[in-house]
This record gives sequence, C-alpha cells and structure tokens, in this order.
Amino acid sequence: MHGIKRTKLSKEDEDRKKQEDAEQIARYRTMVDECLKRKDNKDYSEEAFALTNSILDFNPEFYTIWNYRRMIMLEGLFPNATSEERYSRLTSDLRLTTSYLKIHPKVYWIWTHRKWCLEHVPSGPGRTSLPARTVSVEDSKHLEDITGSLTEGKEDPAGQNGSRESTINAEQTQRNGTPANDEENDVEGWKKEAWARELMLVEKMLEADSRNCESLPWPFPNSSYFSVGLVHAWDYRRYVLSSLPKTFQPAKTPQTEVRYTTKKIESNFSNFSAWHQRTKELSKIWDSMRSQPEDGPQNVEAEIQRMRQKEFELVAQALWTDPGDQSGWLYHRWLVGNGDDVATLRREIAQIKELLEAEPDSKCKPMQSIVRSDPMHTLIVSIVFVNLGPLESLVHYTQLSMRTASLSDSEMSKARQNMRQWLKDLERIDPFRKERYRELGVFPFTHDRSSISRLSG
Amino acid sequence: MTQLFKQKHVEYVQNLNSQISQDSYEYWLLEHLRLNGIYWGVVALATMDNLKALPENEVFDFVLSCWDSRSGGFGAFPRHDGHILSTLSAIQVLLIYNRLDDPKVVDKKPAIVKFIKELQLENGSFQGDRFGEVDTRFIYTAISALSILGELTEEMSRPAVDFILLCQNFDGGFGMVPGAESHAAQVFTCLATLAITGQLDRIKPEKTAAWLSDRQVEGGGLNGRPEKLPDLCYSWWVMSSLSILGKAHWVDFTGLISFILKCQDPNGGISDRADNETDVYHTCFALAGLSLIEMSQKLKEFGLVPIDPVYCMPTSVTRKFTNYTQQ
Repeated sequence: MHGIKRTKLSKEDEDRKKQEDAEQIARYRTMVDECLKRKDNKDYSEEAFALTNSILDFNPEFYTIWNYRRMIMLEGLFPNATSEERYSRLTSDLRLTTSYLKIHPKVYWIWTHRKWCLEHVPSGPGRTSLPARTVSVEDSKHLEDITGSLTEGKEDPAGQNGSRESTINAEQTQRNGTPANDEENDVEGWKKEAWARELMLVEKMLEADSRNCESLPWPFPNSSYFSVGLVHAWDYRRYVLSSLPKTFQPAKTPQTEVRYTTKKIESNFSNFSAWHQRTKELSKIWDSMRSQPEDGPQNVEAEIQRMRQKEFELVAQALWTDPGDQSGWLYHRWLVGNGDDVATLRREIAQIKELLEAEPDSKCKPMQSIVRSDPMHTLIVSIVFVNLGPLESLVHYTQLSMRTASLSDSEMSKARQNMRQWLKDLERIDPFRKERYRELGVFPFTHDRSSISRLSG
Repeated sequence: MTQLFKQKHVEYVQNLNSQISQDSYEYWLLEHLRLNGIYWGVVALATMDNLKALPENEVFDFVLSCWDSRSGGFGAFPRHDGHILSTLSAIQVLLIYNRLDDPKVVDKKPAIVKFIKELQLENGSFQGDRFGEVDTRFIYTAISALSILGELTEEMSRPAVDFILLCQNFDGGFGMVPGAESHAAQVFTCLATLAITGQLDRIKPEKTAAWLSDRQVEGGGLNGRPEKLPDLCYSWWVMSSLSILGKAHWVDFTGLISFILKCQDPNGGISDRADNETDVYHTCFALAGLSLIEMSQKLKEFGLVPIDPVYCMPTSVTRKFTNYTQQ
C-alpha cells in the first residue's frame, strides 16, 4: 500500500484483531446488503438516503453507494422539492464531503461527489426574498480543517507567511462571494456563493503547501489505498475557474491567473505547477491577442515579444537563484520554443554559459539529496537530480541554433565541438541516461537528419 | 536483494482470497476494487507463467457475477454499478483465460459494447460512468476494451485521439485533461491509445521519451512527475511508455531492477517502496515492469513471460487481436 510501513502482528494482536474485525465485518456487510437491496428496489426515500450516509462513513470509496445517493436525490428527493430545498440539500452534502475529506483528503470519489453537488446547485434565489448566504465563519473553519489535515507535520517556516496571506485572501474571497442586497434578485446568486467558497478552498489548499497537497487523482484504482495522492490542487483550481458562473465577480481571466502564478512563483521558484499554469494562461492571452489584433498584427507581435522578454527576466531570477531546480529550466524551454527568435536564442545560450562559469558546481555535482516531509505519513527522503538543467539546456539550445541561426562555418565547428564535450560530460555525471545522450550525439535533429553528418563529422 | 521470489509471489496472489484474508475487515472495505484486483493478480500470475495457480472456473464465474445488467458494464463486485475501469478488467481477465467466446459472455457482448460507446462525449473523451468524470485514462480504458472486443471504429477513435492530443504539454508529457500537468501514468494512457489507433506519428517521440527518462531518480526508481518520490508502479507506467516509443533503454536498467527487487517482501508480495505494505497492484506492475526490462535487454534473467506494453497482458494473448504496429 502506498506509504504504509510493513508490519508483522504478534499472534496475540492477530487474534484480537480477528475478533474485532469479525464484528465489524458483520455490521458492515449487513448494512451494505440492506442498502443494495433498497437500491435494487429503486427505493429513493429519506431512509435510504440516511443509510448511504452510514455506509459512506465507513467506506467513502464505495462508488456504487455514492451513485445511489445521487440517484436518490435526482429521482426521489428533488422532483418535489423547491429550489431552496435542493440548494440546502446540496449544501449539506458539500459539508458531508468536507468532513470526509478531512480524514481522506485523497479519495477521488469524494471529490467526484463534491463536483457533482456544485454542478447541480440550482439557479436562484432569483426573485424570491430569501437572502443569499454568505461564506460563513463556519465554512471557513471547515476549510481550515481540510487544509490543516493536508499539511500536518509540515515544518516550513515559510508556511507562516503563507497563512497570513491566506487570511487576507479568505477575507477578500468572502467579500467577493458575498452578494450585495441588490443581488437577492440574482438568478446566479447561489451558484456564485457556492463557487466562491470553492475558490477559497482551493486557494487555501495551494497556500497550505506548494508541493505536497497537489498530487493527482491517480492511479487506476480510485482508491487512497493505492494512490500516490489524489487531488491535484492545481487541477482542481483549473476545474473551479472553468466552472465559475458567467457573472462571477471579480471576473477570473487569463490575466488575473497570470498574476496569481506570479505571486506563487515569487514565493517559491521551484513551484513547477505554477510555472506550468503560466504557460497555459500566457498561451491563451497571446492566442487571443493574435486573433483580434486591435492595433494591427505587427504591433501585436511587438507587444507579445515585449511580454516574452519580461518572462525571460522572471525566469532568469529563478535560474540564477537555484540553477539546480528543474522547474525554471522547463519553463525556460517553453519560452525559447523552437528557437526561431535567433537573437533571443543566442543571448540565452550566452547567459547559460555565463551561469555555468559562475557556478562550476552545476557541472560537476550531479545530485543532491533533499529531505522532505510527507504530510500523510512519515518523513521520507526525497532524492532528486539537480544541476543537469544548465548543461542539458545548453545542448538543446545549441542544437536549435545549429538549425535556425545560420551559423558561420567556424561557429558551426565550435558548436559541434562543444556539443560533443557537453554530451560526454552529461554521460559521465548522469549515467542513468547515458544511452539517451549517446543517441543525441548521433541524431541531433530528428526532424532534420541532414544535419547528422555535421555533428559527427 | 538480487533475487526474484517468484514462488512466494505466486502464493501471495493465491492467498489474496483465502479465508485469512476474508477474516480481515480491510478485505471487505476493498470490495469496490475486487475485479480490478483480480485482473492485477491474474496478470501477475500470467507474467510468472503460472496462470493455473488460480481456479479458472471460479474466476470466470466471479467475473460474470459482477456484470451489471442495468448498465451493461461490469461492476467491481456483484451488485455494484458498472464502471469503465472494472469493465476493462473483466474483459482482460476473460481474454487471458480465453473465455471471451463463451456463450455466457457472447450473450452480454452487445450490452457491454453499448455501455462503453455511450460513455463517449461530444469532445471525443470518455466518462468513467454516467456521472460524468472525464480523464484520459477512461479514454484508454474504453479504446483498449473496444479494440479487444473488435469493436473499435474510426468514428470513435478519431475524436478520442484529437482529445488526447489536446492533453499533451510543451514538455512532451500528457495530463489527465487539457491544461493539466504531465504525469507518467497519463502518458501511458495517451501513448497506448495512440498506439492502438495507429496514431503515434502525431507526436515527437524523442521529446516525450526524454521527459519519461527524466523520471528515474537516485536509487534507480522512477517517479511520476518532476521532483516527486519514486514509486514502484511507475516501473510500469514509465517503462511501458518508453517501450511503446522504442526507448526503454533511455533509463538505467541495473538501477531500476535493484529498486524493484528491494520492494519485495521475501514472504511474497511487492510494495510501492522498500519495507512498505505489499499489495496486488504493485505486485502486478513490478512483475510486468521487469518483463519489459527483460524484453528490452533480450535477457531471461527472471524467466518472465513477455508483456505487451500497450495492453498490459502477455503478448501471447494480445497477438490474437492487435492491429497496431509497435515502433
């Protein structure tokens, strides 16, 4: 099982466990049997609804029971209910998932049900006089509890900064999520309120820890027993952002999202998820600028180029702060792209060479151990490769320049010579991937095989 | 540890359903994964060339008892709802035991195919069941199941592949939906889908393979994403992906084999990392991963049966129906 230490019970403990288990098994199986019988009989009553609750308390991964619970709502409880009643039922189910997530933050099925509830929040309060609920102190408390359980055992002094920030954010979200009086007539009032709470939850999760609580719903078995970690907070953020009601305020745009990633990156350069999100949002912005060139296509390209150069400045800070961190290098790779911007490519190659000279360690110290605490279990030593970034990037960018930069004969010859040396260095300091480096030396351009002879020649 | 405790692992799988196992509460809390668990156990045994260690007829009867006549798919346990994941597990187990042509299965086939086809959404993706969760692994699961049943059509695979390509990131990896970060297990589901549908030429294999080989970390194990801990199951997700691309040798086998062997419990079973609790899921993927390494090295160090990197079943089984060309 993921992250659970192997243990061997004594004979005594084994017998005791067997006896205890026998009672629990009997109770559990009786309940499951009763519930599945009701399900087979299409019993969509309140009693059946309560029974699903009791089973899920024991096993929140029982997807069939979650399905049945939704069927009971759709077929039995909702058809004759007012929209207030439906909203209240869904709100209480959201609270139920919150309480389960406190104990099982990584169980995929709980998150699935949570999404389903959110997506079924009815329109309203519309023209009724019912005041829209705000994000209550109690809600905030629940959310604190979830994020608290996700970060238990974390010893990160930086986290304290994070939590101060999180309070400010929570307050902002609270204000934003609070409909003003004139919004009582807002047909999207409930939806906005529910999604504002969700946005607050995901921001708290991301503030709680930049790495640990963002693992993905995987693997095949949708089970905490087997999963490396289930809810990827950034994936959930993308889901929430894409689900916000049209009139949600303040509006979330690619621009606001880029600002959000700036904040995340500046507080932790090695937050790859934030860099990744930035690639997606900037691409959206640039695509949209290109599709609607207000000041003519040339001006748009100039503006994009200006923005791109600002990105190089940002990522340079990360690379010079810690040349061993993979996140910045991956982002840099995205920024450089296919290397058609030759001037930028040449400049970046020169800067990486400078970096290697300033930090000779980047070349000769291949690995470094980093101790991280795992919030779910015990302290685990995480060992990552570091410091391959500068050299690998140099190889990659030099390859690009050999294709795009119309190098002179002497430049080409120098580039070939360098490439051979760097690939040899890489083979030596990173023997796990030596076959890959060897092949790179032979086939530097898979899409331009005519260049092969140039390198090997 | 330099030895593979094959006999112990066979016994481990055999004992998963024993009375001792059934006496534990955890056994019952895992009902919702039972059919998936049988698939992992059967593949583990098949990889060790010991399929007969489980009683075939009992397995067959159990699989059929998981069929959910209302949805047309298989649930993970009798009376559970049909889901795409357990449906693929059922089809795989029936195929491995060569029982897909049994009249009791043939009867159900139209309903099974209908169940899977109806899970496809307009954007080409598949949901896991009618409650709408979308994920690239469900696309793989559906495409794989339909191809095994000989029911995969161009009409279904074309939009599915288009969706898969939207999930590729600049780093060469794939995420679970468009916009999501690359993850090794999602890379497997996407590459395998491209392989089944004959569309591997729509990506740059070197870029993806480089990202995959970067998953190997000190100690020889593989992780699922940059700067994460190694976990044994990636011995399958990463190695199968690299094998599909013909680049298995882009990682270091000696290191990886050593990592895998250290995860064994000498009493049987294999875990995610050394000294952790064993389970059938990791046992299956450790053995299947070792088989891929053996195939790539053209060695027979552990005497394992060759496994198909696209379908995670013995090649002797998949050869009967595959129409993809491996690179």
